[in-house]
Amino acid sequence: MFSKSDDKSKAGGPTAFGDVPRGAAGSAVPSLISADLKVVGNLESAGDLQIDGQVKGDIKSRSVTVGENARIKGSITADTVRVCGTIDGQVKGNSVTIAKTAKAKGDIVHQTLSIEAGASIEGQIRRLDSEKANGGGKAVAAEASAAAKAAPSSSNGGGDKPAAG
Amino acid sequence: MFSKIDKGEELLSERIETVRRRTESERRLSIIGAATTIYGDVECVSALQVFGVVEGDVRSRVLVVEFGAHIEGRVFAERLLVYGSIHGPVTATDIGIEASARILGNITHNSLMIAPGAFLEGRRPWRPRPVVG
Repeated sequence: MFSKSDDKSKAGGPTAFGDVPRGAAGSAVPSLISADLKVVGNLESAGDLQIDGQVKGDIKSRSVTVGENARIKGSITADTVRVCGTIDGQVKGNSVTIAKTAKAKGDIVHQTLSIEAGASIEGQIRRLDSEKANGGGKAVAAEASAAAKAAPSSSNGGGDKPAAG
Repeated sequence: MFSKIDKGEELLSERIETVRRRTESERRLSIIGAATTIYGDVECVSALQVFGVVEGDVRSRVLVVEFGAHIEGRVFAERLLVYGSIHGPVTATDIGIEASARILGNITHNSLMIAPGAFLEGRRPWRPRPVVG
C-alpha cells in the first residue's frame, strides 16, 4: 500500500504476519520521539529513549537522551540521563550528564553527575546517596534535617551549583 | 598490503553511507519502541511507528501500528498501516489492515484495504476525502 514500506522493513519492522516473533520486534528498537512528535502524558520505557520533540509529562526509562531541540515539561527518572535540550522538571538518575546546550530548570538528583561548561541549570543538585541513606541510617537523615533547619534561609546554598553561562 | 581489507573498507564505507542516508531520510520518523508505554496523547505531524503501547489518542500524518503494538484510544491519521491491535475508533484517509491486525472500533475511511485474516469488529463507514482535516 505504501510505497515506502521497503524502508520500514529495513528499519527492523515486521513486514508480514509471523515475520518477527511477538515482542522481539521492537525490544531492540529504541524509542525515538522526533522533533515532529508531541506527547501529552506520561511515558514509561524499559529500554532506551531518545527525545527530540515535546513531552508534557513524566518520563521513566532505563536510559533517556534529551536532544538539543527537545522540550520537556515534567520529571525524568532513569538510570542514565543525558540532557542536551530544555527541561522544566526534576531530573533523577544514576548517571546524569548535562550538556552545554542544556537548559535545566528543576532539581537534579544523581549519583554521578557531569555538567559541561555553558549549561544553564536552575535548581538544586543533590546526590542520590544521601537520599538512599535516609532509608538505611536514621542518623544521616536526622543530621540532614538538622542541617536543613539550621540554615532555612540558605536552603539553596548547599546544593545549588549555578553553572557558568 | 592487505588487499582484502581494502575491499572490506569499501564495503564498509558503502554501508555507512547507506545507513547515513537512511538516517537522514528517517530523521523525522518517530518510533515508540516495544518496551515503551505512553499514558497520554501523542501527536505527530510526520511519520510515527509504534511497536509499544499507547493508552491515549494518537494523531499522526503517517502511522504504522506494528505487530505486537497496542493502541487503547482514538486513532487519527492520513495514512495508516496496521499490523497490531487498536481498541478505539479509527479515522484515516488511506488505511491498510494486515492479516495480523486486530481492531475493535469503527473505522472511518476513504480508502480501505483489509488482508484476509484480520480481526475487525465495528462499522466501517466511508467518507469523501479528506477524512482527517
